[in-house]
Amino acid sequence: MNVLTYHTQWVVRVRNLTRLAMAFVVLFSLSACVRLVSDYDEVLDNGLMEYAKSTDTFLLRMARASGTPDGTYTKNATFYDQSRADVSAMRMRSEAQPNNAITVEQIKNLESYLSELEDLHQILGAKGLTGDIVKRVRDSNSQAIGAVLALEIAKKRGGK
Amino acid sequence: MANLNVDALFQKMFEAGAGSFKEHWPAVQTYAQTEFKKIAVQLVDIEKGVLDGSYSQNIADGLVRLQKIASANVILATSGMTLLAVEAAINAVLEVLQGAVNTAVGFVLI
Repeated sequence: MNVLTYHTQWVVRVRNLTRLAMAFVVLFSLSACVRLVSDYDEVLDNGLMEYAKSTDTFLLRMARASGTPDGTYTKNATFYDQSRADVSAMRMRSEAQPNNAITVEQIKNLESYLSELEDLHQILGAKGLTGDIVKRVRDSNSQAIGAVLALEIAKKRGGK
Repeated sequence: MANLNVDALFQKMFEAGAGSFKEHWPAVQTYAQTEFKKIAVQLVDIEKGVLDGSYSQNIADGLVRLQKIASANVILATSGMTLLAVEAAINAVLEVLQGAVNTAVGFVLI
């Protein structure tokens, strides 16, 4: 057997082994379930529910306090700080999950929502958030938070 | 006199949604329809508030900005649900493939 034949046989063996290894890689990767969206996160679900409750309670309280010093932005600035910290914690948790870009974007939107609400509260000055405005804000706020929850629950993928 | 109409606004959103999400629309239609209706009602109510003098332009702008953010979250949720439907389809195909391969080799290979 000359050197060239010996070399050719080895090349063929290595090529066959490579093909076999690749076939196993493909087969075993097929056995893994494909995940395009992150798994359901119960902690985030609970956090969102708490956030929905705290913002809604605040809005109802503001409607009642409208026109009084207790309803002004200055008297309630701490609510925005606390809520911002709550949303920021949810964003950090979501960012830590793989394949979770959509939820992260939604939570960033909740942060923007809070800033816009804060601006509106400031614009309203001594009147504060009136009952009619609160009605509009409660609707959009629950829709914004509800959309994050809806996706989170859909991530259960038919499971309970 | 009000210019916006809930049904007309909803119809426009519905058509845009159905056109954009195409074959995935049925998977998200129920959720999207409910939310699109809420968006339409909200925008019409804001317009009414402007026309009857309840809202200044500043306030109306603020309320519309809030609604835009809420609407963006609805669209994002709808996109996520679409992705979940695609994921389920891929996994269903892989499961069939897995069954076929295991049956062919006579043992659980994958």
